[in-house]
Amino acid sequence: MPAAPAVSAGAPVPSTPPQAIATKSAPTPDKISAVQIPQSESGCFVFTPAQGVPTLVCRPLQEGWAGKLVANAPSVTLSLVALVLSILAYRYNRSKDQMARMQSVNDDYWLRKVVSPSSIEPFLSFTTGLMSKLPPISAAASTTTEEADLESQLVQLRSLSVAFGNLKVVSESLAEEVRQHVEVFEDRFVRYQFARKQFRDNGAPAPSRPEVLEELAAIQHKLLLAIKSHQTALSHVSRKGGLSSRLSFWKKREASAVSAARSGS
Amino acid sequence: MNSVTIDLGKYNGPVYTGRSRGEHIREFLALDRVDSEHGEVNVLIPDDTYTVTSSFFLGLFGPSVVKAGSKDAFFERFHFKAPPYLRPEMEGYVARALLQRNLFV
Repeated sequence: MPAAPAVSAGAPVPSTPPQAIATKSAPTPDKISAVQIPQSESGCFVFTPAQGVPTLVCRPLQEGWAGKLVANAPSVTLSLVALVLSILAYRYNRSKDQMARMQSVNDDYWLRKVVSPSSIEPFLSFTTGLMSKLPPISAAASTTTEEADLESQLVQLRSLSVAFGNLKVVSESLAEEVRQHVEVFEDRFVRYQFARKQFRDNGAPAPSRPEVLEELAAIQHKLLLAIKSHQTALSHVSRKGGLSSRLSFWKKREASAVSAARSGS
Repeated sequence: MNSVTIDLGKYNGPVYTGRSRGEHIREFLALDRVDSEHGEVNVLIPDDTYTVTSSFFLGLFGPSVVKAGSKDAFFERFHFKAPPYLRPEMEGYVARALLQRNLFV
């Protein structure tokens, strides 16, 4: 062994030559032994450190995307279904709101607040009163008052017919249908009055007051039913799905109401 | 220019009601053609007429009123010889036809 060099005071301490480290004994390397684990698809091995507990390490085999998809299919499917349902729910709510808005405008405002007070309610009040005061069959000559009453009743009926023209704001077909019913009511009332006059003046067969009352009530009922049907149709349209189907339903209803009104005349 | 005379006495008076009845007479008399040719029409309403309702009048003359466009223009072509008590009623019918034509168009 070569002699160590002399060290003077203040001089740096020389480092230990490399061959001095190599003289220590090398540590025992860790052992890695491949161990076949039965019934396992993973590649596993046992890691045996020089000191410590042997550890079993398993690595999963490499999988393709198909394998990953199969494993995740249920959650992916549920996610897609939820997404589709969300989109459908959004569209449904949006169209429902639009239809509710339309119904509110047409039905709640125009029909109930504008047209009804100006025409439907006065018509109902007037015709109910007219029917209750329908003069009976009498052989007595008509008085001037009676003739004047008849004339004023007809004037009032005609003004109601004009007022019903406001229904065109809501629906042209409904306005047409209601106009038909008002005309039929007026015609029936006039024919009764004429038949009374003929009975009185010329001895013609007396008309049947109960029959006329029944007919007038039926006409009044048909008119109200037409309006009710229109309101019901509004709510039906708002409940059906799909804007195009709702529009086509609306158009079909309009067409059928117009044809029914025409065939009724 | 042809003129046409309509005598309502020939059509089961003295009560004239029903829009379909008015439309039927209009079709029978071919008033649409008369309108297109701007012909004059003389309308005779018997003195013993009880009434002419709006439905009958508008069924018979409604399209002519709308085509005329105004009350004056209508009565320029359609000359009515009718009981005096019917005149105001007919003027009211004409006004109604024009009003309903103009409402919300």
